[in-house]
Amino acid sequence: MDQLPVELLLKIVKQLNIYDIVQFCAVFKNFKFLLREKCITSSLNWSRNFEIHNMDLCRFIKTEINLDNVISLNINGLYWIPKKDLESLIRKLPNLNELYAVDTKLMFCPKDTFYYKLKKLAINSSKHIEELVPDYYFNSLKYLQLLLLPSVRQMMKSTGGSVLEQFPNIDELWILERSGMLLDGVIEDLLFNFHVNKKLNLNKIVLQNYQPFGDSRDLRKGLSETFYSNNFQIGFQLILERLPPLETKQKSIFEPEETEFEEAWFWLQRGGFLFCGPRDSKFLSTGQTVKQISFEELHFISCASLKLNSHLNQEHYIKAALTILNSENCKYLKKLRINSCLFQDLRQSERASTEPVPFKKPRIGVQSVCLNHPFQETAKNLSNLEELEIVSCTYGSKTIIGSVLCGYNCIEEFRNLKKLQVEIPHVIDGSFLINVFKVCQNLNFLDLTLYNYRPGFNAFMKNFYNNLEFATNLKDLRLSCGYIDLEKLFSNLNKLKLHRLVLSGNISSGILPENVFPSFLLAQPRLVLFILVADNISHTVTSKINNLIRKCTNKNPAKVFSCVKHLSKIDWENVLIQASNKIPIVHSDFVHRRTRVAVIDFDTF
Amino acid sequence: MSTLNTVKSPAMNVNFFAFAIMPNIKLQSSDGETFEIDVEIAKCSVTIKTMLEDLGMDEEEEEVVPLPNVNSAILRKVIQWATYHKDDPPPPEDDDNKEKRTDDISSWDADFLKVDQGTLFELILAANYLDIKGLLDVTCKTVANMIKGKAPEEIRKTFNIKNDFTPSEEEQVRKENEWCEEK
Repeated sequence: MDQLPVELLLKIVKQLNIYDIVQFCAVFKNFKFLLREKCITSSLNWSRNFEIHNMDLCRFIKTEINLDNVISLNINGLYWIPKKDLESLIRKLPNLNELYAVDTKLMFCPKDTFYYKLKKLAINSSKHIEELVPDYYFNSLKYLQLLLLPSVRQMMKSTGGSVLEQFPNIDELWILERSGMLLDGVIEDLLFNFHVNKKLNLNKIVLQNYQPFGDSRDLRKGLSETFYSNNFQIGFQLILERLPPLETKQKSIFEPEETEFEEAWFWLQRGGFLFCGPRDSKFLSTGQTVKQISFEELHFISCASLKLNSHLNQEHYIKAALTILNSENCKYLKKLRINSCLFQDLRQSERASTEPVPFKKPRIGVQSVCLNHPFQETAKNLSNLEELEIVSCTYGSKTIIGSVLCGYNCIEEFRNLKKLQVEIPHVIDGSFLINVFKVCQNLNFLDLTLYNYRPGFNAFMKNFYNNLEFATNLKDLRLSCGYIDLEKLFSNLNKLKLHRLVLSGNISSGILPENVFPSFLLAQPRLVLFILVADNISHTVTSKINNLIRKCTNKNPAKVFSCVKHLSKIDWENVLIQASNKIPIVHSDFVHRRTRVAVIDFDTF
Repeated sequence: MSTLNTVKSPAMNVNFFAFAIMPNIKLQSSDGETFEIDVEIAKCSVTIKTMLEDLGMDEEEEEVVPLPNVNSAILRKVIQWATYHKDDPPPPEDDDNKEKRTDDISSWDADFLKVDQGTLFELILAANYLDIKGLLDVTCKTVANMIKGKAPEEIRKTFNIKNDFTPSEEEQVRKENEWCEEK
């Protein structure tokens, strides 16, 4: 490494984000020159980097980096930096072209002249933007090519969608709608404006909405009509979250029913069971005839099909889903969301009538080792998987439950797993998790939900607590279950370096030792988020715990430690404008356990 | 020795030139092994391309291009990469303003680069010497991925690097980078 010529070293370092570069500079003496190199510091990206919460970022940039070099700055999600610091920093960057500052204390206010030179801007908008801003301010933003605004609905509604006309050069428009309201009307307004106003050079619209678009057939129809009517430049892209690819004029990417894969694909798509990720959709909607595609994200459970949960247990569905997953097209799959009924052994139910079923009554606390589980082959095919989400299958005959439970043992086959979200069936003993911890050493995100937790049954939790230390890279942990033994959990988490911890469940109603929280929280210097949701404690205890844990933040505005009685009580609204003890919206996905599969990721898309 | 494009006999060569559309070229590695490959594939390397253009290549001639900086094992890997990527569009020019992405390594490349570190660094040097931008990009990204998310000590461990700081110097660096470390 140290023998590489400088130009090659620079080429490697160029690929790193600034946090990694600073780490790397400390590997060798004399590596600090790297921070002065233009090619390295022209683009600074700290997006959602909670690790830097102990640092004075603005001062670091001003003192260590040549300010003339900075062309692009990404501070998405750094909610704790004071507004005036950010503004003063941005004013000092003469060549800044791109600013990504979603979910920071910065608010879009075109009166501020430092926005005028920007070509790309991603930022929150204050609610009543149109009241604050006369038209001529918008005209000052004439260089803007990319604009990302979260919660744009309000704005579109009050201006009738004409806001777009204010940005003559805009090339890409990204909208992230968090209010949870449907965006259908907004999309139509947008597209209509588009039709009317041919001056626009818009080439790409990306929309994310917490309400899935996928179920709205009318919307899809409307879109494909607008889309293909005319007026759209070649290469125009409309990317929506979890919307099946628009029906293109050409028949399809996969000529139907030629192979088993194509048949399965069409069956699942038509039933609304399967969505692919935004990148895959983009690829599929190019209209070219595609025979082979490397899927990146597949989401096998849509909202519609959740209502029809029993359908997911149909043999046809399972066979079709497995056909897709076993195919070459999924060999490089990165994110997957499935229902645990895919684990069932169909061979077993076929012979169930004649042969005895190996696990008639699942035995509690006993590791159920199943050799040659059919999902093992599937798991081997998906060896590049990084994110896995398993929803527990609630329907199912007793004959299949044994093979479903054994299926969890296949998770360890995913050696490259980084994120794991699992709903745990109440009869499983957790031994599968031990192997996952030991084998999947990249695992940094774990979300476990135990439904129907029975106090007498604790084999799973026991296994979980005792083996946490093996998950050496775990950074984000979210645990929801009937009862959480805080002392035991904290003592086992001590060896890990956590960034975020969310616990939801009853805690010991007896008196907790005063020092349980402080001794844990102070021993976790990287922890920025700690939420305890406990239904069974009184308001007095809640406020007592809050007093205790808030002291542990050391007044660092990045650290959010809170104890609440119900998740719904968490106040997300106006969180960036108002008091500092509210929970930043950046963490809302994590706290509310939203899926990340087939979701537009605004940081990397 | 490998069977990959070993030198053909003169008789076969005559036969070959009679039917092939593309002429072949011979590359010789530092340890003397000769590889005969399609000229179009060899032209992935800007170094070889320039060399051929400058010298003016005569198809009839039995010239061998010596590559003294690349050994046969690495050259074989490079040829394998170039053959797979021969129909790729030319890689885009470096744009410092563009978002840095290291997770866009194609699946074939990821498999191809599952090699030991020594080979990986030799591939970087070879790609640089031969001026094959696509290969250089993807190898550098692979190394960058190995550095990502690691603390200095972990990086040293990964690459087997000896710590050249004295304890007091290290303390100094730690103070400067306090925000990266734990408080």
